[in-house]
Amino acid sequence: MWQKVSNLDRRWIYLGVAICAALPLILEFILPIPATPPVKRLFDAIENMPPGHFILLSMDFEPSTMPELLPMAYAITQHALSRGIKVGFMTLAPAGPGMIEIVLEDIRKAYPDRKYGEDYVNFGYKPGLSAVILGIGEDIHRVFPRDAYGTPLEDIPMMREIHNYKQIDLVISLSGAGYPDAWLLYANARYGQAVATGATAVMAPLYYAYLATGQFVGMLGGLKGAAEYAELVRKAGYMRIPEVQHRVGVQMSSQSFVHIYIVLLIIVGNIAFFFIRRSGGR
Amino acid sequence: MAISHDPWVWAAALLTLAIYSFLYKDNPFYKFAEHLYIGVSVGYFLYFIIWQQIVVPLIYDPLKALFISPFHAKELLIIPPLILSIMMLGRISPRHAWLSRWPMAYVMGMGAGLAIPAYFQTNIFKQIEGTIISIPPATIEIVTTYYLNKLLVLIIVTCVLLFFYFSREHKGALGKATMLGRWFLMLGFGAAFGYTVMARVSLLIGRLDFLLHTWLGIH
Repeated sequence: MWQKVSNLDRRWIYLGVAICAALPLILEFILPIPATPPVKRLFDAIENMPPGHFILLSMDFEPSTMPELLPMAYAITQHALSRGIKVGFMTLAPAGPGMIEIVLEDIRKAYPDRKYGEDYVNFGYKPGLSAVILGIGEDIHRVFPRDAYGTPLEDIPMMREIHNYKQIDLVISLSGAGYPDAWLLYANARYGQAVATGATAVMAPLYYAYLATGQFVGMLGGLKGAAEYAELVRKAGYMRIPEVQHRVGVQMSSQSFVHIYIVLLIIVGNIAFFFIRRSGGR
Repeated sequence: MAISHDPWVWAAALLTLAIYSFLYKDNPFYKFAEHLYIGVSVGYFLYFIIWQQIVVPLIYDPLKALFISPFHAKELLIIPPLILSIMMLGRISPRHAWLSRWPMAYVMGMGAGLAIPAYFQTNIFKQIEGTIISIPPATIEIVTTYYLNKLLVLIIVTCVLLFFYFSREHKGALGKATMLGRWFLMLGFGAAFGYTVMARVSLLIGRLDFLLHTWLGIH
């Protein structure tokens, strides 16, 4: 019997994963999502920021990591705009402009009281990574002479007093690659800029070391981090797009189901391995 | 249940199913989706990155401005990087490949000059400082936990570093410390693997949610 388990066609395992992932999505139930300290630290950083201050949200990701990072962008943007904090959107990833537009499309509908150019601005994409980050330290108007829609930055009211990191209170890099490292290297180490990150779960373990030293103000790790932040924003009464928080909550339930399934597979696989070895099989 | 009427949602859903069909076995639908993805990616890269973000704003527009006002200092600044860029293209011909060494030397020199001090500051000095000092506790209640954590960090960092010390045989006290270091490394790998599983599952959930919720409209 254990031999059969050991030789199970992997397509059955895939089917099991698909069922475990789909069930919570169909039944739409949400398990409790308590906030962890790294998420709480980022939430507090924005929560304690006086209205009128400015955060730079660098959406350094592409569609491949959208399920984890897009909910973070929604939650952070809603938190900031609800508190009257100005937001600048930019991206260092080539397919990032599309990600920004997805968020802004919903934000325009949910926040008719917040005006483009006065409360938020979209700088768009700029190639050059380190040159861009260093350039913002000198003058953001030189790095982005125009916004993503072609308007000169000097004609955008909220950008008249924002020139470099001295006027930027927090940079948040949402990324599934090494972009947050670049923000640490060139914005934090060189200019002392406060930096936080929202990273995919693959990248998150690497960033705990920077979190422990305070180099990152806070961190959202993967879908779990996004769900925790969205829940904090909902509890604080800032959520104007509840659908996003609901979906990310349902997705986390799905995640928990699949994790339980994988843990069971690991246990069964190990038991099978030991029994086969004991009976002299290979 | 309200199935989407958006043709783009249908296109995305069918392409998602075509990609996932590979899990059953390789098939023409998967091959089609794979080739389409590569073609679209290359097209996007060539037009959006190379043409729209580099050629037009960094070469064509400044050259046009230089042609209109040839003695304007700002426009003249385009000439040195333009020459270096053209020299970089020397790599195409083996006879002129040596030309690319100059721009390459410039890029490496500038990159190293910018990155090395910042890298040391971020990954060496701050990390050593964090191992010793760390963030102070916010409240008096967690002081004990704070010092316990600090002690733990110090022990783990020392043991893991000793594991990579190969100039003496790992025996006696050193052997015990390196054995501990190996266990700590295994714990680290385990945590990283757990996070990787979580990331991959998240991507699957994102696609499934799209298929069930956005495409099929199951609420």
